Amino acid sequence: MSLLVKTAGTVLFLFIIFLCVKSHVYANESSASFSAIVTDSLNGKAASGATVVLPELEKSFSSDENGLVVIAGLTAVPSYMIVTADGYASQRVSLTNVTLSAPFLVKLVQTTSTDTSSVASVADTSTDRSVFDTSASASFQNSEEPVKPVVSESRQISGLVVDQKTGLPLPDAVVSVAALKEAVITDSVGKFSIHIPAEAPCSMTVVKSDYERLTVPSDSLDSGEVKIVLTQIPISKLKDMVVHAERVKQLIKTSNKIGQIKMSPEIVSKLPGAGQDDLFRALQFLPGVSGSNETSAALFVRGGTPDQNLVLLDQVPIYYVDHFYGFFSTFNPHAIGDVTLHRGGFGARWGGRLSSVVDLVSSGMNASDTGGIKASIGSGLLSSDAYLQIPLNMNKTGTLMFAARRAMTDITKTDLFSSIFNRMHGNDTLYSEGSTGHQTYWELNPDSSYSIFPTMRGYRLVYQPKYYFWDLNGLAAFRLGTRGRLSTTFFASRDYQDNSLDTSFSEKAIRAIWLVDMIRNIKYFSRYDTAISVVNVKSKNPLIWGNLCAGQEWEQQWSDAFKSRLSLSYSQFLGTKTEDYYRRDSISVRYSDTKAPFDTTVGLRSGMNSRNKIVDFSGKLDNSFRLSDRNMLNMGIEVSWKSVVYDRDTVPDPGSDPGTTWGERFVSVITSTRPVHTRDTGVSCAFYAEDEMTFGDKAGMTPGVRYYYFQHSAAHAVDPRLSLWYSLLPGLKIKGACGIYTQEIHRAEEEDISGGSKFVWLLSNKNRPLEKSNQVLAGLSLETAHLLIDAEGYVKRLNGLLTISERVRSYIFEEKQPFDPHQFAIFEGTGFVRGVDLLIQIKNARFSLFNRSATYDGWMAYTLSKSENTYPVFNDGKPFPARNDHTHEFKIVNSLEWKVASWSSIDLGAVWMYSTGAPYTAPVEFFTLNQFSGPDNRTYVHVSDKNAYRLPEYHRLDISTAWKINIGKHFQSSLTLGLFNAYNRKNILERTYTVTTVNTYNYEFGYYDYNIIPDYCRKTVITKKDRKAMDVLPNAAFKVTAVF
Amino acid sequence: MKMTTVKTGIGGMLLCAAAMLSCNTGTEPAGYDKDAIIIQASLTAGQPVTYVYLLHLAKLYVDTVVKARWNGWPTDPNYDPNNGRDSSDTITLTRDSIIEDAEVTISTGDTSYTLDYVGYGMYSDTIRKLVVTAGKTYRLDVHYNGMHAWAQTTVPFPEGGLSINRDTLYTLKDGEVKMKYYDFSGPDIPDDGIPDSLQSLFVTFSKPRKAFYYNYYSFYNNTYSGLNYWISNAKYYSTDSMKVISSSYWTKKSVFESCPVVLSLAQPARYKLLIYTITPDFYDLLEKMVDTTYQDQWSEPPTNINNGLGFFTSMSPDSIFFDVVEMDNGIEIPDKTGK
Repeated sequence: MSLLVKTAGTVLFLFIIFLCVKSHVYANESSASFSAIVTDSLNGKAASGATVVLPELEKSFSSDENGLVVIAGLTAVPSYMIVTADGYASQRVSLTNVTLSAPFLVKLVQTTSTDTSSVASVADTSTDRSVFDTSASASFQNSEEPVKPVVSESRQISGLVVDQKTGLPLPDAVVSVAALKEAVITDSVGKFSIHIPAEAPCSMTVVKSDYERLTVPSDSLDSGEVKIVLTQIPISKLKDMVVHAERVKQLIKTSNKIGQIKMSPEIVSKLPGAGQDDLFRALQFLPGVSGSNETSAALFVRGGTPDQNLVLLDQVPIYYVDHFYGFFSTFNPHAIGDVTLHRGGFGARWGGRLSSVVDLVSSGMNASDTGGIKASIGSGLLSSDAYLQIPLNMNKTGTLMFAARRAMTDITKTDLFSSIFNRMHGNDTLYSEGSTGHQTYWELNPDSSYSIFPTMRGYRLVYQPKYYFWDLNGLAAFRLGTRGRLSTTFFASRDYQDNSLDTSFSEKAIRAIWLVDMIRNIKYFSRYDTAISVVNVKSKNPLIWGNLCAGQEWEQQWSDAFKSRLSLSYSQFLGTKTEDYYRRDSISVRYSDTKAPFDTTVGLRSGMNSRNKIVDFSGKLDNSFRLSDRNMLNMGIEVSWKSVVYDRDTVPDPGSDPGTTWGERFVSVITSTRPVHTRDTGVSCAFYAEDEMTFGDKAGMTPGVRYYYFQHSAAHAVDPRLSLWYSLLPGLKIKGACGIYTQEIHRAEEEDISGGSKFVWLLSNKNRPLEKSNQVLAGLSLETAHLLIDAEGYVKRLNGLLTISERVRSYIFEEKQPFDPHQFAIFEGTGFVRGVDLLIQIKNARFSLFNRSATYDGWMAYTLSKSENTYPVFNDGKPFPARNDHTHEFKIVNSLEWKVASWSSIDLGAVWMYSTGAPYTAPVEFFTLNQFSGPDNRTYVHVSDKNAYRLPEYHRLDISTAWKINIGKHFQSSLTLGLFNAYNRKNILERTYTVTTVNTYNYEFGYYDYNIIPDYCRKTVITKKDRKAMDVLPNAAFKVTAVF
Repeated sequence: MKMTTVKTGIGGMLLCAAAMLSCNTGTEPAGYDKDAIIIQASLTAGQPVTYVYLLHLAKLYVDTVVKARWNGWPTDPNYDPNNGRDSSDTITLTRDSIIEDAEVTISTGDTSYTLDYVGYGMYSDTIRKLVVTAGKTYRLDVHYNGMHAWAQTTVPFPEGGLSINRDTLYTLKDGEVKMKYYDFSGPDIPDDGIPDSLQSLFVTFSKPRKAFYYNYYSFYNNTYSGLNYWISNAKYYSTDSMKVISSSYWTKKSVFESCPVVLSLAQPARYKLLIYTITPDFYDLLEKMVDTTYQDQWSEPPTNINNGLGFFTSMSPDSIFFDVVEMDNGIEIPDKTGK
């Protein structure tokens, strides 16, 4: 029956996809469509009423009030189009070299009485323009053949166009000499060069969107360098255009390279968040990225684990991305300006990771984005944040950016915090009463059955831990002339939890009457009057984790064909956990006769300190050589020094022995966890070379190779890489990649069936292998102006995976392998991952909603995958599902922007996701050994095959609404309300089991003592515990943004 | 983009969601993963084969009782004071799954004997036709339900020649709370406190050989106030101390000193010290069963059974007696021991 349902579901799913695609094709009558935005070249305003004529197809289309023209229903893509509008010169726009996958701009030049010539420019808004990408300047197409006057002599005018306020160079400004019908466009660093007649009096006009038009008189044009300063049009005048510009942005974009998705940070504010806007949670909505793990904001990409992701913030590697027990990530979304995710098949310029690259760029890093001072402050139910971006305009130009965020949960505990904390912590002893601060008190256990005596009650410890987190982002980016950039990035984050407990200072310390020692003093039982036990507990339980990172980048364009980037970085991750528990029992026994009182005090101490630390100093030099317009050679070197330490010690620090303070006469130290000390350091070097080649607009290929040497492993590695794409039809591409990937750092799972598995960072060494992965990816994408269908398949083989399992350590003894008690029971295994990702995206669908314009963006992502691991010590060496294996994962992401007024808009977001339940290991059988006439029996529980079972499927719906109001010219406020898990699905995140031995003798005989309990009164109890996911969770946030 | 496309797209997504929800992928354990024979058998030199105990794996969720619990506290399953926080179930193991109809044979050299089932999973040489001899190798074969498990062991030689340099210990009668103890070495006992070393008894060997030992005391008296006191009216009781294991394999001392046999020599009684010489693999097993730092609660002990679990071992015992006598003002108080 189940198979039938699954089969039917799969068929229905494929049918729906077919319908969706079919519907789109039907709606457009053809697969060829694109859109354009017609604007005034001088002021950038939309040219409403413009008409686009396609003479070859005998079709015409009109623009809407925003200048948008949707050209659809074409049987073929024409080679050119004519754009006309009243008051503007008609333009003939070539379409042969224009990327039609995204809306492009057509700028019309107004007709004047003296000038009837025209300049039309086509700018592909989807093109990335960075210092490393000069192809942007090549996208300019002068649509009409300019009529060049015949002149005997000419002079060359070269110049630089800059922003009046920031001094930054302005690319893509149109510099025209009307009299000659000659126009050029500035390059990526604002430079231009144009020839004019030597003697002719020619004025020059410089036009750029968002800037005032500037005419340079003829007498100001001398041969040589000219500096032209443009003034930006005030925001109030640009309002319409700003809105217009936002609408053509895509929330996510794929590229020619397989596996690559570029995400707009705007997505964070448009989609529902888990109590907090979060970039990585938004990334989890993408296909191929698992989104069902509420305990970690880290990315599980195509069967990979978070440690296999190279997370770069301005080229600084970040090792740990979780805040708040993983409920959201450590990155402040306001501080991130650009995100690119490579889900596999990435090029040779990146290395050291197997699964993915997350390339984050700080806000303000791209200085050309800087308009004025931007500032925002916001507050939600979990944290408050502030953001400030300041453009610099001194001798050097650049940008300063600061962002800070801090949880106020140690000051004010909201219900939202308490709900999340209790779920994420997963500790039964935690209990929230909504009070504030770090409090400790005892609570009467309402369960009277715990005690066998009617007058006794068990007491349960209840306390409120202290918890907060913070993060800081800083950026200082400076322009070095017109061809260089120097930037410094700083990033720090910290999570701090303190479960420390000290009842000796509590006013509510327990004072209970216990009949302890009754049996031990059984001969005096008849004279036993009262026994008073006062329990005091001191414990230190700080738990701290976070990152401390800094980076320096220097980019320099030495010539039009040669650029370099030097990056230096320091990255540190530190996670520490201290458990120092001390309990003192003061027992006072009083007798009713003349027997002397009995007083004693005993102490019990246990502890465990652990520390996992990564230090990474890295230096990287990237060079790009443009060999031709269609060939870019990238070469570089990377050197890093890494130190990874893991210490776990069960011996408490003698200097902090509370027994000394309390003057105990007897302290029993309990240690139950194996101490471990590992420290690995070493230098690794890598060289890479890759050649980015394109063959017209039809195909591209990037072969590359990366060579490593790892000092700590004394090993070499050579990773060949290849990616390619081919355009079958306009908008239809096939893509592929293959390669070998090597990783030197591990985050090994330390299996714990009882408490939930933990993870430990370890560095490869001569005894720990490097992780290797062989990958093959292939894909197909179909993209039109409003629809993207992208399907990718992948196969990955992994070697050198590590896991830690104490329960199978005994196998080591059996095999007579050397045993070091201070080392992990660590095992090496392999992995095999295969899957298919499907993305169907609707982009910028505009329509009228209650007579107001609305824009819809959304996508459906489906992943079918299988991820298996093989370890010789598990399952007799047979493959088993990996911990992060989810066969099906399905996501529906919806975003609607509804402009309810000229000064206000409402964003509605809804995300639904479904995932196959995670695998888990369960006890299935048991047996008892009696130690051959020993004092007691011992029951051994036989555990199932590794990850043999699955949790129930995971699904939830998140919804949010954001009401944005523009206040005056400079301020915007937004109020966001959201519901996480809106229909309160009872998802299960993790299933664990504990084994305890309980004495039932007390129930039968009225007392108990461990020393005299016969075996038949002991029963082994296995407790199954389900760690539930979050229930329905309302959240709210308010934010004010200012732009000057 | 027409509204038709948007509506169809969203509608398609919702239908896909419904299709996904129709797939129920969760699975839970419900019974056997795979069965196995568990053998617990030991041979003692000079004695017949009396201890072969057979089990097979018991199924959780089937041979067990499942109760709802909350927070580790036995409580009303319908009562959850913390508003739906982590719930849990408990599975209480109720009984072992003994094997009653196995075919069990023990063989040495060319001789083979079939053991009889005597109840409670025990198989024995009921007619005592086989007496275990030190130095011989024995093989045990178990056939049950299509499974065949087997193992073999070589019986070690006993230590031999045990002696004790003083056969009586004295306790001082000094009130009812404090007790002081003598050890073998002499009367110099401090008045205050009880040195830890005096609570332990060390067994020493002047010329140790490479061997593994398993030591414990049995003591006999009529004053013990433990459980037996409550449930029986017997005059004399035998109670065993904690078992300890020790090895002379790794000592570099000329005089081997075992692990201390922890025993409060408070009770005036006749004590019997037993020293078993055991096999190295059995020592390994006991070490792992006793020492919790070697394992977590899910680890299973090593086994020397082929196609099964458990252990088949052998040992050779030696023993010696001594008495602890209570003194009152230098006068021995009689009739407090089992002698």
